[in-house]
Amino acid sequence: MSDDIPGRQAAAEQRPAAGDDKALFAASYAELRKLAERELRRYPGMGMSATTLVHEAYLNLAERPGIAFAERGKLIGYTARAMRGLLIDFARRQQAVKRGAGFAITQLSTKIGEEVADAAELARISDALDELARLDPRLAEIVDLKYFCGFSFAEIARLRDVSERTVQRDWEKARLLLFRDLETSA
Amino acid sequence: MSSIEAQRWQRLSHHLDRVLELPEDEWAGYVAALQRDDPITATELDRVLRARQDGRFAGFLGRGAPSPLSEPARTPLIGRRIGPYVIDAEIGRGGMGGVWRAKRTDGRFEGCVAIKLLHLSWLGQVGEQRFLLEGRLLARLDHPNIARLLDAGVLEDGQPYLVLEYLEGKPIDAYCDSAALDTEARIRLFLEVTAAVAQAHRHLIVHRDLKPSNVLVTTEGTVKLLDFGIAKLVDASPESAPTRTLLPGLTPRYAAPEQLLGNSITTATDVHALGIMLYELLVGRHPFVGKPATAATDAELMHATLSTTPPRASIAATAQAGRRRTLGDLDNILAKALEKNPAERYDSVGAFADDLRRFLAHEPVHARSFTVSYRAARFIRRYRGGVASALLIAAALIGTSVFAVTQMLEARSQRDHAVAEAQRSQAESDLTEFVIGDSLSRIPGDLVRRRLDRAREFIAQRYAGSPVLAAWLLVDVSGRYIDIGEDRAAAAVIRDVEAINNRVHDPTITAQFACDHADDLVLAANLAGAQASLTTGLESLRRVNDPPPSTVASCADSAGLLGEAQGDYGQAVVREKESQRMLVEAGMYGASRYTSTTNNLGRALNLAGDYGGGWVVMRDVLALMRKVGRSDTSAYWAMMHNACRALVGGGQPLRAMKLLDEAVTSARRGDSAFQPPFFVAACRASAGVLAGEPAADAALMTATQTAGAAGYLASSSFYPAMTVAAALDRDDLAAADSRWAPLAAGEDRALAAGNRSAESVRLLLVHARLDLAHGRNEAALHRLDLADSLIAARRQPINPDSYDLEVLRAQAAMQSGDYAAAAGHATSAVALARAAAVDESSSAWLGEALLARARAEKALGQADPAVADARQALGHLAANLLPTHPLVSEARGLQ
Repeated sequence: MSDDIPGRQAAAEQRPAAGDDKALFAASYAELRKLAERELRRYPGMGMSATTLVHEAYLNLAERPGIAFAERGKLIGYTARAMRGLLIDFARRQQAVKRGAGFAITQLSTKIGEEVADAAELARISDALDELARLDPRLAEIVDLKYFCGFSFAEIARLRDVSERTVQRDWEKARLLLFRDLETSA
Repeated sequence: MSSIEAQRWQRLSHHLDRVLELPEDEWAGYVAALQRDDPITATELDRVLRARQDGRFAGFLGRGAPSPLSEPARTPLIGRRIGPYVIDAEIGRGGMGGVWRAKRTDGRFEGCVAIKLLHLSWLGQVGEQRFLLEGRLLARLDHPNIARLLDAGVLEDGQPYLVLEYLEGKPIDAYCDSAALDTEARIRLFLEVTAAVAQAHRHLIVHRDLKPSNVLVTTEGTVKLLDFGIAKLVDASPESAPTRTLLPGLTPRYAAPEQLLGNSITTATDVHALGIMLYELLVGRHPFVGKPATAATDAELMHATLSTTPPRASIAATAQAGRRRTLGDLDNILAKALEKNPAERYDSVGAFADDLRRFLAHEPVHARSFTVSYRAARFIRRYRGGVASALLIAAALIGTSVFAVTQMLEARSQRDHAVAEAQRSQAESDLTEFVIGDSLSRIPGDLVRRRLDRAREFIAQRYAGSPVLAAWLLVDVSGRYIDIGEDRAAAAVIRDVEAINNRVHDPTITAQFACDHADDLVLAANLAGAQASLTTGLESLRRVNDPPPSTVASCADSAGLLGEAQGDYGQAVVREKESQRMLVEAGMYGASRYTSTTNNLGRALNLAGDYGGGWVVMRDVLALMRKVGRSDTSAYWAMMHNACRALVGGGQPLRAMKLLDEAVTSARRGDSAFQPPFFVAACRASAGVLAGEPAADAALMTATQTAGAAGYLASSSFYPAMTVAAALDRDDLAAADSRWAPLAAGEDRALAAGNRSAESVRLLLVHARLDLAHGRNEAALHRLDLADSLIAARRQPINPDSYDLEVLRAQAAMQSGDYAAAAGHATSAVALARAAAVDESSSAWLGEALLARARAEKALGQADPAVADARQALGHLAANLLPTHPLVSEARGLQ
């Protein structure tokens, strides 16, 4: 697989400037991609859920010696954002395959191909989400966890140690804000 | 982001939060109101909210991002190997993951197991280690009505799995319906469920997800509980935080209010779930929602659970007409199990089951519908007595270590205090004559109730002019109401007492409340607060000329507990003795407040190193407990543990083993599945280790791990340190090193913090022993000196640690060839062992010290004294250790 995948680059550049955070995010992305590809290789046509993938990547990263304990709280957020980038990348590749652009990705089944949404639409959501993250990173993270990673409200509530009701209200808030932004930019 | 932008965002965000709290039809009004104060934000808010009117918004982001990694419908796991098993069929799928049937491949046995593959997300931040450890602990939960957890592990790819006993049967609700069981048969079946839950609670395991689908009735008709403790296994909350909330994927249908509110989860949570289950089994519908629970949304269930009281007439309406009166009792039982406030439910699953048994036997039940203020409720609990929670008992016996246990805060209000008391002034006899006489227990309950009602009126009339006297008489009356299970009436009376005291500020009543409060604070580890509250209580009491002995006893007991928590064991002994004497004076010998104070006294004596005194106190109180029929309570087992510690510390481990073995055998005559609580198992194992019983080492490791997992070793290393000593006894240096490793940090921490507690000394001593075994004499001597200085700083007349110190010094001196010094230290050890002995004429530690001296004398060439000491040593050792113990053979060899 080529390294110059635009979604990943874009995702990597969205990180806050601090060097360590950037490294952490890059590590999250690399770990996720490794796991996803392993799964696709091992169970062609089946894979695993995004939720599982994020958890597993998180667990692997948290175990790494270089990762300080204090960073772990951020880690799940980074991993979720990395997952978003990865999904967009996969969607783009998928479209490239459909257009015959010559990426050799034989493992992706045609059934999955049919389900893939318009990568551009995902990218627009992602851009709006980055805009939201600038104002309120926690709100944006809920969208990453819920929409891109498939976490349930209850799981997010557990991660953050807040009530499910709070998560649901924030989710509704984020949806409203994103919808407005997408409407405005369209 | 510019600061202007940030401010605008803050305002928008703030108003968005508020508006989302409102019903949608009030949004327009909110925006309109804001338009006046802050038109810019109002306009922005309006634009954001307008999305709701867009037809596409409802589904926006609704389905989750389309993913090329989307989850397969099912993974073809059939044929997959998991440990020694191969999966051969899918059984079902639930919130936590799939369940599969599997067979062993190594032909070791024929049967099937069920394998649960937990979804990886369940691992959360828990980590593999804790998953494995807790899995192993749960595997030890052994009860005929609990499905065994056979193994827990994590596959190479990180997939966590559980191997469970494979069962065929039906969920309990389906079984009851298909067998068309009547109400009584359903209750009998349900009692099997309570027995299993009670067993788990004795081991401090809370189920947290009890529901009919987790209660199977097998084809043989046996009830089996599934998934015990698994909710805990997969819960990510760390030990230090109160155990938390509803797990994702669990239905609110069987959740208790505290689970929905995110409050602490205790055994009372299981009582609530059992209440819902029984209600559904008997009434055929959910207690809180008016429609079939399957048709209710989660939100409806949650709201109903938090705010609705179950309809009471329901059972009577559906059952046979002739039984209506007793069915009212059943309503009361269910209402008590389903109380919103955990503190107002049954104290234990056992109490719930007892009431059901009484109902079946047509006896009056204890449950009465009951809603009172917290203050009145806790007052009543203090005077009620009965069975304390297992948590609390563990607290009562491990002493200061409990203060690390956060859950204690929950348990403290269930403290095992006291049956009603309060004998007051000459008016007491008046009252007693008027209503009660001395034959209270032989009068039927409703007659007593009527007499007590009359007594309340009598007091109000006759003592209207002396409110303080009236208050105390009312305290007495409330206690008698409690005796007959009329908690609501008792609470009303206590409210009257409080109201009176708010007017008259009677120093004795104030003292009673302040000393009660000091107890609470000691258990919550707020020692400064406890000291302050106790001081208030004592000063208040000092203003009274002739304070009533029961209040003096309360305050003395509180002072004793505080002294113990502060490490001042001598003070604790003095105050507990005073409390005990006062209770006798108040005519309360044999009441549960008496036995609980006596237990505190025994524990304080043990801690002060007076094991002989501790043993006598514990022996007598155990006999008393049996005499008053309280030998099946957890308080009894806490006392049993303290008796065991006295015998072990006082040099008689063999006798301690016998004591506990006989107690367990006796308990099994009543309940063949009885398992002693882990703290009793730990003391039994430590006695076995010291006496030289080969199997005891493994038992000690098990009990220590159980205690650790339950959170009881956070600041007490008594049993963990003992495991190191046990390995050294077997000359297994490698095991000793690995068992010591996790304790090393605790030693460093204690020393760095300048901690002079028994805890620091214990760790130093066992570390010194390890050093000696490795031949590191210098290091050992350094540690022993350090321990010595810490012991000296405590200024206790007898110190149980000094004996170990002197024995180790003698050993160190022997190893470095200084035999005269060795003989000197051994002589000190002899004196210390004699002072601490349960019986001077028979103590293993006296034997050990004499043997150490004999070794030194022999090395010094003093043959005659050596032989004489060895002979004496042999007598002590042979009587208190197993014949195979190396010290026994060594003493024999020196004759």
